[in-house]
Amino acid sequence: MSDPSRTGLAERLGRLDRRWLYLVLLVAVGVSVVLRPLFPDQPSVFVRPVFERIERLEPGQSVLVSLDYSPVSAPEIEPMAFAITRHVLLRGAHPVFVTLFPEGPAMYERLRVEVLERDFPELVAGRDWTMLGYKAGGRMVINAMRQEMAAMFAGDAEGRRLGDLPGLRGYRRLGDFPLVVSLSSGTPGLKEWILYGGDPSGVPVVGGCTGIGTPEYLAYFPSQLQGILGGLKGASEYEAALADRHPGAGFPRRAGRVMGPQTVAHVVILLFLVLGNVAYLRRPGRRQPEERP
Amino acid sequence: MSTSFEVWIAAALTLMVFSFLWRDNPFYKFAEHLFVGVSAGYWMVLGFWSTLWPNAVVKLVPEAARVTEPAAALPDRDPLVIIPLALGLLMLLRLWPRAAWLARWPTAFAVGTTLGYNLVRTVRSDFLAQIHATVAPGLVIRTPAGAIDWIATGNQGVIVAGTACCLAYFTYTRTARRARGGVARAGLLLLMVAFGASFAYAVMSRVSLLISRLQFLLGDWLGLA
Repeated sequence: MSDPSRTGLAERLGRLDRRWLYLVLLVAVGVSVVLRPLFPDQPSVFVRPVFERIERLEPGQSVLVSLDYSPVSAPEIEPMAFAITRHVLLRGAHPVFVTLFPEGPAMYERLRVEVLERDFPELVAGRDWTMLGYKAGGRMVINAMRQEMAAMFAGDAEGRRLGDLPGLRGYRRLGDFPLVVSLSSGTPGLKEWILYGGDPSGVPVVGGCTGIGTPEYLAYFPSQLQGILGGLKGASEYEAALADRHPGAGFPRRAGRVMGPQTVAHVVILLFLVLGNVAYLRRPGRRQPEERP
Repeated sequence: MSTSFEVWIAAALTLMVFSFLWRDNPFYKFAEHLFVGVSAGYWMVLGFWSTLWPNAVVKLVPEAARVTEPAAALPDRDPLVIIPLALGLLMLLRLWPRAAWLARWPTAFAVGTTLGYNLVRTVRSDFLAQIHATVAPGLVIRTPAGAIDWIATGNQGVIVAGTACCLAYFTYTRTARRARGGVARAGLLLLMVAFGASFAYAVMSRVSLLISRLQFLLGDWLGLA
C-alpha cells in the first residue's frame, strides 16, 4: 500500500496552479536582478577561438562586423556586439559595420552612443570605424560583396564615398578582410555569412547568436565557423576573457551581470522539474511498468 | 523611480503583457493589438525608406538621395532598376482578379533564381562540407608537435559513431532488431540528449528576455537595480 501522506503531497503538487510557479520564478529572478551577483566565468572551446582571432588582429587591420539582429534579440546579442567592438578597438583594428537587418541601423545607433562615443571618445566615425549601413537582399548582398564591395556600397551610411574611407583602403572584396564577425539572431545572418561568404571566399567567419539558434550553428564549428558565442553565456564568457586579458580597460560586464539571475532562474526551473517528476511518479493510479518474469 | 513619460508607457505596456500570465484580460488584448498595429506601421515605413527608396527611387533619380542625407554623394543613374521595379508592381496585380495571373511571372522569377542560386551552395556547404568535417579528421594531429591528440581523436570517433547511430534510427526499410536495433536505440538516446541541449538553450534565451524586462522594470522604471 502507498503512504497516504506521500500520495496526498504528490496529488497536491500535480494540481498546483502554474501561476504559483510563475510567481516564484518572478520573485527569484527579481531579487537576483536587484542584488546583481557576478559569478566568475571563463571562455569555452567555442568562445576562445573568437577571442583569440580578434586578439591576433594587427593595428590598422579592418574587420567586417555584421549587426544582424533586432530589438527582440538585443538582450542576448547586444552584449556580444559591445564586447567585440571594444576588443577590436582595443587592438587598434578598424571595425567596418554592416547590417542585413532593417532594424540594424537602430542597433548600430545604440552601439555608437554606448560604446564608440562613450568608451572611445577620441575616435572618429569614418576614420576609426565605418558604418556601411543596411542593404536589403540578404545572401545576394553577401554574394555581391564577395565579388566587389563597391557593387553594393557606394559609400558609408553618412554619405562618404567608399574611396575616402581609410578603413576600406585595400579592402575591395570580402576575401580581403582577415575576419568576418556576424552577430545574428536569424535569417539573413550567420548561416548566410558562412554559406555565401566564408565557404566560397575562404575568409574566416566567427559569430554570435541567440541561445535558441546556437545548436543549428554548432554543426558548422570548427571547420566552417571558426568560433561562436552562444547566447548570453557566450557573451559573458567573452566579457570575462576580455577583462582577464585587458584588466586595465575596466569595461562593464553587462552579460556577466545577467548570468547571476540566469543561474538563479535555471536553479528554480530545475527544482520545478524535479518536483514535477516526483509528483508524476508518485501520483495514485499511475500504471506501473509490468515486471518481466 | 523614473520621471520619464516614455519609460512609464513602456513599463505599463510590459505589465499589461505580463498580465497574461494571470489570465487573458482586456489590458493584455490592448497591448497585443497595439503591438501588432505599431509593428505593421513601423515595418511599412521602414521597408519604404530602407529598401524601396534607396534601391528604386534613388537609382532612377539620384538627386533623391539628398532627401534623406543632404550631404550624400550622388550615385550613378541605373535605368535597369526599372526591370525589378516592374516585376514588383506585377506582384501587386494579385489584388486585381482579372490580371492576377500576371503575378505568376515575378513569383516564378523569384523562385527560379533563388532555387538555382541556393542549390549549389547548399549542397557544397550544408551537405558535402558537413560530411567532410564529420569523417575526414580520423586521427587528429596536434600541431606543431606532430603527436596524435588522443582526446580530440576520441571526440571525433564519438561524433562519427553518433552520426551513424542517429542515421540507423531513421532507417525504416527493415525492422531494427538485434544489433541494428541496439544501434538505433543508441541513436535515439543521442537524439534525446541533443534535443535536451537544444531545449536548454531555448530556455536560456527566454529567461534572458525575462531578465531584460525585469531589469527595465526594477532598474529603469523603479530605480531599484
